[in-house]
Amino acid sequence: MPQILVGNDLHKSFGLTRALRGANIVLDEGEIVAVMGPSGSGKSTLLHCLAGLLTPDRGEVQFAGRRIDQLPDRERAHLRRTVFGFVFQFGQLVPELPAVENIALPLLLAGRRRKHALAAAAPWLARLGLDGLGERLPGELSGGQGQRVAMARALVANPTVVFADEPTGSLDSVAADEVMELLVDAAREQGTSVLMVTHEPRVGAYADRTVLVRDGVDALGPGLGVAAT
Amino acid sequence: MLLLLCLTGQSAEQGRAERSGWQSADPDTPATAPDPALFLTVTDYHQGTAMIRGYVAALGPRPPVPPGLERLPGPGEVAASPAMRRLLVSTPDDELDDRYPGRVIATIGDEGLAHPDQLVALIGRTPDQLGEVTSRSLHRVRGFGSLPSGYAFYQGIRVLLLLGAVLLLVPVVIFIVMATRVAAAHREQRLAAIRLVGATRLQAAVVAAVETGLGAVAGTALGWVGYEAGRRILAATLTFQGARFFVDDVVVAPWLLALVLAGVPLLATLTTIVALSRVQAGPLATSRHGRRPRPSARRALPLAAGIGGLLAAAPLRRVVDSETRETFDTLAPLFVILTIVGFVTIGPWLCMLAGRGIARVSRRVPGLIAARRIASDPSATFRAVSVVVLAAFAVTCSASLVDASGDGPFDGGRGVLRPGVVEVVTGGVPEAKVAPLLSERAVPVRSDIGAAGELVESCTELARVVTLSCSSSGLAEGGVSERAGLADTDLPISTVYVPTDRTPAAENRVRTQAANLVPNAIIHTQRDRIDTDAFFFGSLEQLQRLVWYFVLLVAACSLTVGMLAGVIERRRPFALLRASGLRLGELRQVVFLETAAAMLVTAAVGVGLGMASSYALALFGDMAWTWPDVGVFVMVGIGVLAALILSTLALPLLDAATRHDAVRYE
Repeated sequence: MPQILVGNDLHKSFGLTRALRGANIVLDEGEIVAVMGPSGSGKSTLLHCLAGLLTPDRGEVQFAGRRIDQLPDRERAHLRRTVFGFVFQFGQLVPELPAVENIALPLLLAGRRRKHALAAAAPWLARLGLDGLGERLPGELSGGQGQRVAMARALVANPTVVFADEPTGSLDSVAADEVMELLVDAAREQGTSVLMVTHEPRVGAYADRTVLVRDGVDALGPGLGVAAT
Repeated sequence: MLLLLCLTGQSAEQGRAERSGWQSADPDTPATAPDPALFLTVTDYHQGTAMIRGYVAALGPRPPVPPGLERLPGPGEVAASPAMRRLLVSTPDDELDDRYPGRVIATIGDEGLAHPDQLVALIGRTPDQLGEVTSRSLHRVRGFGSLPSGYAFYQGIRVLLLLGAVLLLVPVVIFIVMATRVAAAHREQRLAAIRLVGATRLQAAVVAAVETGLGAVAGTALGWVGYEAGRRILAATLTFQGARFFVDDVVVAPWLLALVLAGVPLLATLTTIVALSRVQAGPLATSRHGRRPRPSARRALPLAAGIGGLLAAAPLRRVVDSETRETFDTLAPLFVILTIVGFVTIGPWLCMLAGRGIARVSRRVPGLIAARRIASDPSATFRAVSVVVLAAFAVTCSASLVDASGDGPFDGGRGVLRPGVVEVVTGGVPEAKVAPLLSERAVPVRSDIGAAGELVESCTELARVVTLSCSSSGLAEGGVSERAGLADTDLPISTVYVPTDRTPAAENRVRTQAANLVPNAIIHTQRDRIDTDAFFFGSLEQLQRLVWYFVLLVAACSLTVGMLAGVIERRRPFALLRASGLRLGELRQVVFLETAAAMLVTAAVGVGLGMASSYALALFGDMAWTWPDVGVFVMVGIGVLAALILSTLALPLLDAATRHDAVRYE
């Protein structure tokens, strides 16, 4: 499978704290990779560098063969809104927008007409078991429901890569399983690659491959990982 | 600081009234000296500026002395205010100095002046000289008290100022409440941490209240220091009724100061407690209710009752007897209060409608998020913009009435004087007394006491100097009648109209001559009247502008705080939206539109309702109503835009608040 996202020798420091010390990672097209490791090991920093949210101090990030870590912020923002999708632990939904508009947000940002964006968002409600909840505000949804809305939002624009940072961190195990099954199924159906950060082995088991990070370095060597069993 | 400034107007005007009270002393003024004095004051003018010309004659060795003087000026002596002394020096004698015969022996101190620039002179006379004056304004006084005889008028101004202060207090209080709520929202996360270690809800609330209280005490103390520094600048630059203030006038009463210093921290603390009662501060996090109750059309009822009540009562008021009319009149304030309350209650409903409308038509994300935000919490939105909107409502409402009252040249019931004509109202003196004024072109008006009317020799001649109703066929009702051969009668002359070459110097010479002939004469040119007229309405307009600028300043602060609140509350979703590719410019648009859309819609409605309310009020009170001057709309428009532009000062913080750090959830 061709490589879609590559991180080479990534270094990143926050003041005196060295979060990444030469991390390497490879993500293939349509692949689901879990980045695991203890707290403070640099998992989230690695994900943020790969997604263009942070600029690494050293090393390079390539997306579809093109180096993206040196792009100006504006171009990186364009990448994020067109080919990347994001799922975070919580608090990512715009509180004033009903669920269906939250899902349609990436399409609206991409310039799609509102009617078409909402029409494209609506099927996701049924697909994620959120029938009849489209007009609910985020504050009126349960944690699992809110996370499913966030998942739909990340996938609705058919992105090339979805970055998920502790996507089930605020959910109980039943809700976490539901959310992960939906994410994995939808990603496979669309051929979307997923890079997710988690510290839960149960969640990591949904990935094709696991990359362990320890002290800012991938513990198993460049581009390697533990294949899922 | 803003609160203290808006309470200052009261004491400033009271100080003026109390210090200048002696200038209208009368026999009812409490005695302060064993011997009486004869006292007469006349309001005079010099190139449109009012001057107080007083005459005094001691009737014993120990007469009362006005504040600001050590003794009464004796015959041939004059005491003048500092501004008057400067004016006397810089003006030719025949134009002004001769009006104050005598040697200037004393300067009236600040304790006897309404304001630093007041033009006052007190002329010493013998009792015989003053005894010749036949005027109801000549009084035998035993004291120069501190309250003016026209105190009711001053009370009226004070009521207006009090009303203005209350109107100014509202935006300040809203600002304090908003600022406190933002702080409360900011500390929600910390409160959750306190709850996590076992604190009860009450204990968490006490912690928040103490934090707020201490912060508010420090803030109030700083405000007080700022006020003390600012009031000196204000005294030197601010004018009201055409005059500056003494520094000591621009000060709040000690009890009021104590009330503010204690009240603001208390208000802030109470607001925190109320704000916290609306969130559930649990051990893991704080949460709010998902959907707030939506305002309904019922909110329009008080407004409809206020304006409708005035409109419905207006025709009835005209046909009922005077007693019932008085009852109607007592209802007027109720309708006005209902209208104002109605506007406040209808505001959130309007915001909600505006939000829904904008959401329906907006095609871009910033417009959609802003519209949804407005519609989801219209009360908070209206609270943020309410200050400007209420001010727009009040300014437009009052402008229609002020403008209507100010229309047309002021004639005081005595006609409009032709340019260059000086009117000398003597009150009725023998012809010999004013003979030097009776030049060929002068037109005297005589009083025929028996016929109870005023007479002139020729209506044509009278028309040359003044536009007074004049009849050549018998007595004219409310006007002057023509009677030939008046010059040969000994009827007293009540008024003399003296034409001049229209130069200020010539007019001043006539004034001086007239004042020396008849000290109690009331002397006017039309310019004086226009200036008096313009002065009064100009002061009202100036007050209106001051209130507007002040409100704008507070409003800009409120808007900025409102924007900050919106950002802090949604820091994480906004940061994540940015992470997902939403540009910072688009995020700024969201925050700006939330405020701008709500403000523009409600301000436009506010202006419309302001005019509707003033129209209803004018109709009810049989007052004239006119469309506000274009300048008023321009002033409101520029003010609204200025407040919005100032509020964008909060936008740069948006970048810092939604950077990468906020994406992390730790």
